[in-house]
Amino acid sequence: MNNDEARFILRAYRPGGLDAKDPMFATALQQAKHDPILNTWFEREQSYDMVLAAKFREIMPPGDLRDRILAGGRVSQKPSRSSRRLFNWLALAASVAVIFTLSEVWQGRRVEAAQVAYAQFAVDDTKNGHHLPAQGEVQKNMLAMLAQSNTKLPGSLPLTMEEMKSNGCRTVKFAGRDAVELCFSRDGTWYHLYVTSRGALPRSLLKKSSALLTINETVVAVWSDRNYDYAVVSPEGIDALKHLAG
Amino acid sequence: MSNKAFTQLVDAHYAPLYRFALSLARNQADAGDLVQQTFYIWATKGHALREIAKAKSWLFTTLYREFLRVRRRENRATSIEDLPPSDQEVPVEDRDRARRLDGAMVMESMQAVDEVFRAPLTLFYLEDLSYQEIAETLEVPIGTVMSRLSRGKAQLRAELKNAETDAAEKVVPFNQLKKRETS
Repeated sequence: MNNDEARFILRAYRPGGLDAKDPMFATALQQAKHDPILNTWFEREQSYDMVLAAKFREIMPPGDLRDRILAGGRVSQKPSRSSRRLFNWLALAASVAVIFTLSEVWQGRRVEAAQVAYAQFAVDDTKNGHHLPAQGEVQKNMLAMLAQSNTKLPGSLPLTMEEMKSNGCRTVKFAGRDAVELCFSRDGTWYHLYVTSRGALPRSLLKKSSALLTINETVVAVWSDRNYDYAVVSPEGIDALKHLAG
Repeated sequence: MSNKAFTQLVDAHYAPLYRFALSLARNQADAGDLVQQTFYIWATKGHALREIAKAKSWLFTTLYREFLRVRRRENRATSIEDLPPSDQEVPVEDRDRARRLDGAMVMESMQAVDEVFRAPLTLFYLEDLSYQEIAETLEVPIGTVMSRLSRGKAQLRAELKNAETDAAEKVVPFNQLKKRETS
């Protein structure tokens, strides 16, 4: 083995002796021990690699990432019992079937973890949240607009988070972000619409249509526009959601 | 897998996975999505892995596959031709230069390295995986990993040098600043 070959191998040797027991490096390490030029090079290389590895450790994930991962994981974990697993597979198959059945209205796509987490949040809040009646004229006008059949959902709303929050709309937290809830009725059916600033759902989903998910037998649609991520839930099922698209 | 075990798994690996994802995706939002998607896949499929000791490699492999899948979808292929030559020496000033830069600047320089080198090089500097595990994660032969590490290091050194030069050019000496203000 010449020094160039030894260098080639030793460049893959992690700093701090993590690979010290790997026999692949043994010959090259021996050579560095006995060749001062190679040894100097190796010490510099290791020192340089150690500095860079420390710099990479300075990079910290965003503060809410851990919560988002755990939320997504909790809703998708399966118990180990095979019967339960079979049930979940059937449930998953059913939800996929729903997505394709409704493809004319809700363009079903590959479901992403963030969509599941957001849908789970919307279902949980719909079931357990303390929903408030509309307060003030502005909020009533917002709900009246949502009640009209020409307001197609999924779609963008001509409202800002600031308008909704400042006019008394109920605000809850999702993954560290404010999410505003609008409870509205259209043709006698109640819906819960959640709006949060962009970031809850992946950017890669921005240009895509909504996804339809079944969470604990409740159907949720999630979608995004340039500014916001949306989720709409109706306890009355798929037909009710289909009705929103007009 | 219990919630507690899942939380432990997340806590043990989400930070290095995020660093790897940030290096690949080059922006925080996509990196966060990649990590989240990786754990989601674990929650739906990974629990079937019999050897929990292999969870780390599994997560890195899955994240990399997800990155390739998303990139294919977005049609942002990177050419792996024209590999740059590898430098033979590491001058002392290179190490000192790296010391002066902060983590974000080092990451930016890494993001400028060709993707074909960037993936193995980032995994190398994360120190979580050996060269063999990097080869398994990226699904390339061991010799290819070594070659890419060698060439990738040379490219990263060049990028770090550029980063420091750019940073130095942005610094305006105080006396020049005063002159600008008064003129």
